[in-house]
Amino acid sequence: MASPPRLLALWGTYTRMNLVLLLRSKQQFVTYIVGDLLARAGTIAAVLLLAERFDGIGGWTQGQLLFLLGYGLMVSGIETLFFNYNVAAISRRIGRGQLDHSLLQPQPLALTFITEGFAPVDALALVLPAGVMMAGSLAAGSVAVTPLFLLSLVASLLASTVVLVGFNFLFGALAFWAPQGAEELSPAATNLLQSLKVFPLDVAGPGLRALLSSVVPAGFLAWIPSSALLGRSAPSAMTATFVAAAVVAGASTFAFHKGLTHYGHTGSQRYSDFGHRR
Amino acid sequence: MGTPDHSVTRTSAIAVELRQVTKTYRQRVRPPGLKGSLRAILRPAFREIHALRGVDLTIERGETLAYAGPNGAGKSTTIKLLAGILSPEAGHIRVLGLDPVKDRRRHVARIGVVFGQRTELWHDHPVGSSFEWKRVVWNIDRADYDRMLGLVTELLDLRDILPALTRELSLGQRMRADLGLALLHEPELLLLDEPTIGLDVLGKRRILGFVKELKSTQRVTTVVTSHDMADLEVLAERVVMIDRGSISFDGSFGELRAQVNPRRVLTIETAGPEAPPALAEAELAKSEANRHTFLYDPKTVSINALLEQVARTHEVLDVETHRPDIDEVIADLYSSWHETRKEPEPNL
Repeated sequence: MASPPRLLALWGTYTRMNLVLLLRSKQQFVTYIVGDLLARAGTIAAVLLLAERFDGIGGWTQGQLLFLLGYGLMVSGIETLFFNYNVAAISRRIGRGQLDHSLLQPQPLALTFITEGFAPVDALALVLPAGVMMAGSLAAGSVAVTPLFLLSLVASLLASTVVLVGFNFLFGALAFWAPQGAEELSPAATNLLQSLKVFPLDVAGPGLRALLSSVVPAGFLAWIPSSALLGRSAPSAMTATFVAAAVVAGASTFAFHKGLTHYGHTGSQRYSDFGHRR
Repeated sequence: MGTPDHSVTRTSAIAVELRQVTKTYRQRVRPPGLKGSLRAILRPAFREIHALRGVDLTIERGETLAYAGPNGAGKSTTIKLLAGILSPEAGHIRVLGLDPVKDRRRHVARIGVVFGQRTELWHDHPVGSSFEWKRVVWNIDRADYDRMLGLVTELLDLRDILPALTRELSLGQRMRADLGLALLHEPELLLLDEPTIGLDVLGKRRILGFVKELKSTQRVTTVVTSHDMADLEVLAERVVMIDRGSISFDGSFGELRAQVNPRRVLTIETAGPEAPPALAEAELAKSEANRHTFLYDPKTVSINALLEQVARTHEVLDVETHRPDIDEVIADLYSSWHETRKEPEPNL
């Protein structure tokens, strides 16, 4: 992998480009930031209103729910920070032959993927409210904040992000073999995780819970790690998120490498620049 | 990534070497209609498309090679193989002494690629931002970057283009910017896939002039493909023609003309609207009012002999003679290939 100065140089370049893109016009900037904030606020408000109406959901207090929602939003924020734009739409990049552009860059593909979608300004619209929500919950005494807690929180957030990004790349890699189908399936699969992550899954039956903690790993994006961090489940439950991250990362890396070898043999016969380079 | 490694083949005179390179695509056969679609799902059928069949090709350093052929001949496949985007089924490819796939990172640091129908520029950013992006991603030394930026800005007349958004550029401007971008890291090999496609006369002239200038000043090895043979003839002395995955011609444009259509064109303008002169050793191709166009073979009859024959029966006002247009030569060549072709090939 790249040295820290090289990583910083690349992230710095993409930060400037992210700002240039958003600052093209005042309207553009306001639409992006305000629009994104409103969209997120809508999702969060729905869950909080439900909790208010029924005095909590599945045994979660409103403060704990605020933490869970903040955690899930923070995972999306970290994903947006590092894997935004065309990198997040990996099935499109592969299926439309745009991977050729990445293959012409003199650096490892992994480095391209971890830097080219770097979008700190876009991520602010997620990370800031997520931080406020989590801080608000912790300030209300949801759990004692210790250095160990903070360390566990950061590690869990990174592991949950790996689950989300890995799942996206796993389904995205299908585009090596079925470009059109994967372009439809991959965003739908990722959206499924994103929409399910805001609910505490205690209310689900054991079968559904098992499903959402395995094949459809939505539980690892907020519910399982939040339960462990807030002391609602045994501390050992924390390791489940790390194991899930390792499994999803391994599976997506394996699928991507297999697909890349296949791509080397077949290439792409359906090049389209739509969506390429923002 | 550090400074590009030029050590592998600094002394070698060979820039590109293909030995018995074979590339085959497997294409699914899709019968029409619902029944056919169902059958194809249950019992899928495939056909093999031979994009390249045992191709041997050597390109020397500093050479500009025109790589031509009809649609589906295998031109783009060859460019992608040379760029390291595709890997061959069989055979051996060395570019600047490297294996383009196995040594991808070192390889792409030393080549520049321009696809006429794609852009490496960032759509929603000023062209200058894309250039700066390239400096960072390719890890180009600041002094080298500034020097090359000055050079391409001057030669490609990019001064007014650099602050403009890519999506606001005309096709000709975009192509100039793409060429400039491809050259910033001083590639030793430049692969140009249809660089003049869709350009107007002025746009073409600028691009062709630049590539010629590059050839004379930078000694960059260049492989250029185009459907427009006249463009290729301006750029390269050597032309390789490919058809259905095999090289069918490798030589100069003069040799190509001689092989396909050695005849010359003679146009005579006579004093009045008369019947065309009867010339035994020339074939009348066209006659409009008092302008008569003949085709003749200079090996069998001299221009003097033909003019003497004309002067006996007609008053000659003007005479033009030239070689057939290269596009006509190629059209004849493709027609002869097409006659032997059984089924159309996809665009490869």
